[in-house]
Amino acid sequence: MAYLIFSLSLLLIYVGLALALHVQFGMLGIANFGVVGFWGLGMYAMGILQVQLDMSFVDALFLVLILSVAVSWLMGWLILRLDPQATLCATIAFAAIISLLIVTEKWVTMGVVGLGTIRYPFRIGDGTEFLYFVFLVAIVVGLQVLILRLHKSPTGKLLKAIRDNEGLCASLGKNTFQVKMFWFVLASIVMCLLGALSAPLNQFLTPNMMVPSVTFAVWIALVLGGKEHALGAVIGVFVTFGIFDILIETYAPVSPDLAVVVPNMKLFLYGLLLMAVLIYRPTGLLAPTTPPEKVWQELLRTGKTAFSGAATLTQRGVEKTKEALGKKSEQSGGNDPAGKS
Amino acid sequence: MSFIIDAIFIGVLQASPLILAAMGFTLIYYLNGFINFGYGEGITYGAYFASFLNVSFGLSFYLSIVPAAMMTGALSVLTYLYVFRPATQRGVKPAELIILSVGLSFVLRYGLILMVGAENVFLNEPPIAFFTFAGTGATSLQFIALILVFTFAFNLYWLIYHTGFGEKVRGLADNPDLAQVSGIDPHRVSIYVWFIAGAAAGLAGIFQGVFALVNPLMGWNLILITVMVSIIGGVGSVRGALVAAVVAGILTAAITLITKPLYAEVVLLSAFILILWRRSPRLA
Repeated sequence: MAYLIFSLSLLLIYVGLALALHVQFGMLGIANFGVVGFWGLGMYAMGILQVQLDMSFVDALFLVLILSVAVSWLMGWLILRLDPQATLCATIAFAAIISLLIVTEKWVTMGVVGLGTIRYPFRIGDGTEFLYFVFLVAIVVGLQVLILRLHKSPTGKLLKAIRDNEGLCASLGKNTFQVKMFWFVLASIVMCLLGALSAPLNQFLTPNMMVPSVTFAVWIALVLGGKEHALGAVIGVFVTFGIFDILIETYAPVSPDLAVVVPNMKLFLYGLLLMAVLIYRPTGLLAPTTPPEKVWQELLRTGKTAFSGAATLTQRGVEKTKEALGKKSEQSGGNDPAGKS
Repeated sequence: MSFIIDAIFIGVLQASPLILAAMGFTLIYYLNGFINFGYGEGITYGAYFASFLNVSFGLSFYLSIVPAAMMTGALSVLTYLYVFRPATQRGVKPAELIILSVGLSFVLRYGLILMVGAENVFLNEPPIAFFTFAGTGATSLQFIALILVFTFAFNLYWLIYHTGFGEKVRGLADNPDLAQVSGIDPHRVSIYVWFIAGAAAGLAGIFQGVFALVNPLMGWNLILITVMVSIIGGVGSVRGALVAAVVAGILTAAITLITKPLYAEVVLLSAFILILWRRSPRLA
């Protein structure tokens, strides 16, 4: 039960990250591939302030906020004028720099030894983890509500217009750079703060948490769920993280020697899923035009289509194999020496 | 003074995998116009193909170089034929093609881990002679790597700038429509380019593997620096990639001589972000 609460809390962190990325990539078109950099910066900053400087949770959170404003603003200033490909490279480089610095700066981060223990902001005996989980639910629900409202507001429409045609928006007198900067920084701050909030969950921080797979998991969730739909992030995280990390890793009866394979299998399938979505259904499960109240019908319909599509493909494959086998047996039946061709 | 010589010498010797990788990478970027992160897995697979031939099959290291590079080239062509070409035909835009290539790189990397495991593999090194040159030591293997790299670089340069094939590649990259009207088959040229680029990645992986060790993450660890060097060298410029890779190698060696090797990476990556920022147009 305690493990389930931990997994669900982590799932909420991922939903939050995917929502922030939805604002950056889905609404504004900024390809931020440095999610783990912002998240890890917040997490490690929280850890360092609490463990090395013995600060209280609230004080540390406040300092993380200030730090994240500075770093996000600097990154925004550096990357927001670049084209999408360059943005992607620059943000990956940013994440790599953060994770390298965590290894090298042993005097504050403890390097590969690891940093701990990070306290929860409150302690009420056995219920601490559950209460913290409720606290995270409140935060993520709050974020989701804000994003649903953002989609309906004129600002949301401006963001999408900037994504689709920045030159046009600029010609209509909008300061597009300022708008992009504001929302990029805001979303990055959310990522940093979610990092700070995941520090108590993990209790003990090591540099191998700072792997590109974190960024990748958030991206696959968003792209699969529907990057332009307000609810795409949540659906995507539930489908990927919910199925793989919670259902399979916790509940599926996997034998111990196979259990080692599961995380690699998961990333392999994530990659495959991402490729399939980008090639066959670029909008993801939820198209941008799906009205929020019809989300369930849309999901069911997509599920049915995907299922019947897969079934047809399998059937066709089976028929082709049968045909090929039939031909082969015919040829080997007649004593044709060139049967191999 | 001896510090400068050391840095240049070590830098050039150690940069050989990076030089190869960057030259191959820049060709694909030039021709197809997107950053292919799956290219990094070519480096990994090259090293694994070599280890398969060298360790499991017992072939000598030098004999396994060419077949392993060819196999990587074939793998690269397969990714073009079955992933990137169908995707472009379906209208996937360059920004999404990079995300697709990151997906492909995860599939290849974790597919490899599922097949062979994540343990480090060591190539059977050929017998090594040790030289000293201007006060710095180097192994015969490093010299051979360096000679091979520069032979490859020279041939590639000749191929792109002085042959009919190179003209076709440049024509396709600069103006695909005009090139097709002139009777150049983009499909065939792309297959050759993806093969050459893949083989270059394979060679890079083989040398990276024999200098250190082979593991499934080696390609991902090298791809960022490769992308960086190719972009700084100028997209599509084989010569630029060569120069930028050598400079990056020397810089890494110099910083490593002063402090920790990881700081060299931090400095290079920061410089990369700054260079991108300096070059960017105000509005895309």
